[in-house]
Amino acid sequence: MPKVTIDGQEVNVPAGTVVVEAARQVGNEIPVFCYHPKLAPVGMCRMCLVEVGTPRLNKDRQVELDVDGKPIINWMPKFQTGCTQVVSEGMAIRTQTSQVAAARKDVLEFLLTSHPLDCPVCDKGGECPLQNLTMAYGPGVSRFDYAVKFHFQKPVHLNNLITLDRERCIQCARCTRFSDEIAGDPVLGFENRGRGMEIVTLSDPPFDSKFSGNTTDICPVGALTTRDFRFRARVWELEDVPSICNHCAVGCNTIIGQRVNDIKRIMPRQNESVNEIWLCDKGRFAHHFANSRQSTLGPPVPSGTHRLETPLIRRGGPQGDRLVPASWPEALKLVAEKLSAAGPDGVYGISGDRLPNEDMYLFQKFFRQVLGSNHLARWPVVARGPVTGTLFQEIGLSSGSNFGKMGKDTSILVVGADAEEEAPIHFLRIKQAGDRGAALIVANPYHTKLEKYGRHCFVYRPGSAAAFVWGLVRAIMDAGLEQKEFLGSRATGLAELQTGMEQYTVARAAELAGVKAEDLQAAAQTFAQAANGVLVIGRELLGSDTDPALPEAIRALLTVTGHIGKAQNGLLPLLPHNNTQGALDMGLDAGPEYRTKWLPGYQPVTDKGTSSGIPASSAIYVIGSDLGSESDLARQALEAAPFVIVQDLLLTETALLADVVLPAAAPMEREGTFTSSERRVQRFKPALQPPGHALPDWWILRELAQVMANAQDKTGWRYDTPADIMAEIAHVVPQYATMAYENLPVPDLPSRKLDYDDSLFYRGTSFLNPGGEGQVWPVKAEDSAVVLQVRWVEPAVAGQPAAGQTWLITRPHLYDAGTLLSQTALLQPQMVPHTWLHVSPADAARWGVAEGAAVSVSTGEDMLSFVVHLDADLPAGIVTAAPARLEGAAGQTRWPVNVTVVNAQRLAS
Amino acid sequence: MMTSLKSGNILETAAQPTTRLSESALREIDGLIKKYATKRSAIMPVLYIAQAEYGYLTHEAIDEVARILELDPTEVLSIAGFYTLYFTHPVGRYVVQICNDLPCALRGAEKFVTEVRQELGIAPNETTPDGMFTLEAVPCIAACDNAPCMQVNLEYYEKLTLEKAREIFAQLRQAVKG
Ligand code: SF4
Ligand code: SF4
Ligand code: FES
Ligand code: FES
Repeated sequence: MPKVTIDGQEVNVPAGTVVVEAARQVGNEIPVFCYHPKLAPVGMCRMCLVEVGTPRLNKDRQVELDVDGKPIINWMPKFQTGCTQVVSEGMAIRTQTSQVAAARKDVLEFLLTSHPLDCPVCDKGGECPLQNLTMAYGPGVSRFDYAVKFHFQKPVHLNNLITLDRERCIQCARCTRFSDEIAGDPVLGFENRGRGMEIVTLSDPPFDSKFSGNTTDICPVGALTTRDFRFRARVWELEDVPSICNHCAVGCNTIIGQRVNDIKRIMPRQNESVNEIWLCDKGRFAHHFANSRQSTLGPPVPSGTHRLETPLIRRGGPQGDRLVPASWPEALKLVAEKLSAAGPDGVYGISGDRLPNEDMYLFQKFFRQVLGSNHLARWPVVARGPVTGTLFQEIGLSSGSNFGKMGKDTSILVVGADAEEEAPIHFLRIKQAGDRGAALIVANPYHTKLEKYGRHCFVYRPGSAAAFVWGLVRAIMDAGLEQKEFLGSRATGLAELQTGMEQYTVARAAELAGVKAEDLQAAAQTFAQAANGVLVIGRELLGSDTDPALPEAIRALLTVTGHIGKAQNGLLPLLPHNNTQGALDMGLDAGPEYRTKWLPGYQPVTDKGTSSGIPASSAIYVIGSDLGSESDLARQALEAAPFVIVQDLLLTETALLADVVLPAAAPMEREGTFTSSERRVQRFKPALQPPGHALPDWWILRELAQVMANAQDKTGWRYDTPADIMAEIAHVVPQYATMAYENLPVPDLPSRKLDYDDSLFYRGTSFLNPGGEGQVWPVKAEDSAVVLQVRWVEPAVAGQPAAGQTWLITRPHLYDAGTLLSQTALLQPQMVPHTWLHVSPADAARWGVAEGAAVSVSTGEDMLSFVVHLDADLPAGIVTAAPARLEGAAGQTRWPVNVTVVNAQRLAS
Repeated sequence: MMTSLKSGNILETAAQPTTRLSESALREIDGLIKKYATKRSAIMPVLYIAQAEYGYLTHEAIDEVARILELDPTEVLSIAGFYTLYFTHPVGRYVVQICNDLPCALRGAEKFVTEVRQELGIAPNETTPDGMFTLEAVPCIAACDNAPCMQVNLEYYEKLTLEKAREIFAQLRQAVKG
């Protein structure tokens, strides 16, 4: 550790540290613009100039001392940039001399030569590093003539989300480096040079990135702003509320900037274990569903999708049945009557997996305790098949894991997951781990962006994931790379596994999966030999109809390699929604046959009362799910049901089928917790008031329980806040024993703290997160007494495409045109409609169809209609459609499925 | 939009509808790429070839180079946009760059620029109507010792007078005709 002296103060810092970081360690903040701790230094802006010297050596290379016995310093003749200058032993640095002060002043004068000084109308004003550093170090007046300032046409739109004001840009290259180094989207660059230099993008579509919003946070000036926030508020007027993104299972920590009960912007809140200081554009922009009655941007939201403000009851009238506004007591009384009359076997509850834990817990409790019924299911059907919650709680990614710390000693195997589309920030962090030396192995039925960073990449046959994973297991055993010591004490069934696999050679696996045997062996070796291993699986493997061999293959792979039970090891499922894991934990799960599998905390269902399928004449209670728009089967069941209650934010297609509609509060309108894919339980605070008479789901359930339990004992239903519910969950659900609210602090930012500690971000805009980082519950494998059972199950290989055949598979997209996402007009250009069928150019040519053509395909049982969208990266023989479209399709079709084109709009030729 | 992560050999890639590069240019590019460890490293010479074939670096030219080198077009544009000998706007057949930096100015470069302006009938950054010459006044081209000086495409001309310049322009016009 070299020792350096900064303004006379000595400090030891690790070799390789740059001067600005060394200075920060002694509380000396050297001003910077282009330097950013998460980006490679470039020395573009010159703001960090300091004086640097090294000890003078005599001819014997010994440090020469002065009369006081101090080393004589050779000061370099020119200033050095502190952000690129790496420390060396004995280095001396001066940051406070008049020369340095003059240099800072001059640099600022230069940076401002063409700056328009339009702070009063600039969105960065009030949190702008250029403003702040100019106040601290800059000149009061400029010697440059106003007339020779460079002028550009005011804003240009880099994409539909980000706006560039070229006159304000100080050419620090933070935005270009972020896009290139962090996001892996090298779509921003500089054109020209000198004062004429400007940020450009030529990608198609422009600034093609799912992470573009982050550039506006780290831009140290107001050059980059979002279309969403532009001119909508002054930053000092915002109330900053800590929240958790509700759009995917990564669980990014956010700050909601609220003013007059309206979300003005969403910003990242630092959590180095989750999202670091980043957000994806979905998380940043797709908040408009909360205020969808008062959309101010773009075209008005579709009618009928505005927020529900009062309960609605279906009533007959001259125009036939209509949903008409009703009071809460009226609506609750009706619901209570109907549910009581239906009895335990005449009710069916369906919960979405986006609600907070507290609400899902109360929903199942309401059914199990108040109604005495176990007829509960979760929608969507994802993680309801062979690969499900019990596997995650057994061998899930161990607590203490952090992708931000993975590097050379780790191998990350990604199977059946398009991380960028399913969990963008996980993608970002897996990619970064790869950049730090982690060996990435990527296997999918089609190409994904992560392959660019993969050490071993595979495109396996659709449906052959289990065959592929078993192939890895066999290759590891063949090479004798299994962790014998670990297996000796922690696993049983190994001998049987070996005998069972006798016939299942690597060559056989390779043939079934359509990959090369030697590639499989090489990947197996990489994964087995890494000190730490993580297996990431995605939507493709979480379907309700995947191969029953899959969970066994996954468990076997992680067990034989010993990649379980310790930090930085285990299985990470990319779950489809923000709280799918919470739904599993709260006992809201059912198998494909709609049979409840367990109680909260994975405790087995022992009593009677589980049902098989939705009983035809049940009253159905749907909470937080628009299944009616996704599934023909569900729609039919809802239409057939004698009584339907729908509790949601919007008047969804499902709600339109209801007899009673109950208006619920959005996540940002109440407090609660979500549990991420990594099983991190994180708490969020309310930022807005719910519209009209809408109430939080837990509140509605409590009221209903109290109405129904009228004569009975009500003691179990006295919850005043979600904290009370979580206190009960902590008793009931063993995994949540330590999750009481007092153990899940949320940083308190009552009003905007303009003096927030920004040194880490070098005055880019972001928020620190003292204490508010959530808690991960440990999996079973972390208990060294737990013995894992491995078992051989022959993979059922579905897809063996012959020449000329086409296989239809599901493929998730980030901008999936879902019910909540569709409320954000700004994101419409990004949307991938459910009607699209992605087709390779080769297949399109074979079918004679072009982009935009209508096609109908037959699975043999079902007929599905789509619009063709060409995708040059898709292997021939494979077509893909949105999971929401396929998982909810009528009939008994299992995916992947061989399809034939029945009807196609041909090329006009 | 149709995106591509993977692309095969460049002849195949370039066989897409927007290609404008000739077979021989593509072959030359293929040879160039082989000389470097990564495709990206060939960007400078490849841009020259594209510029020669397209006349200047049009959007299509940049897209085509990007496709060949497996880069995003933005990365190609930032290179083309940085160097003064790549042109992203239409220019004449010959780009006449006269240095008017301080040392040359002391040796009469400013007067020389004015004379050439009148001779060609165009202001700096303009192109003659016949598409032959584009005039530019540029900073030091490292021939100060023989000022006034100019660079025409890749050729240097030094110790210039208006007469000499006239001769050079005539020769260049002749060369194109003949
Ligand atoms: S736009 Fe902002 S981040 Fe990008 S170079 Fe300019 S000042 Fe830096
Ligand atoms: S990655 Fe997921 S959790 Fe994070 S901001 Fe995006 S949608 Fe939200
Ligand atoms: S040059 Fe050091 S911070 Fe910009
Ligand atoms: S100043 Fe003109 S060539 Fe150097």
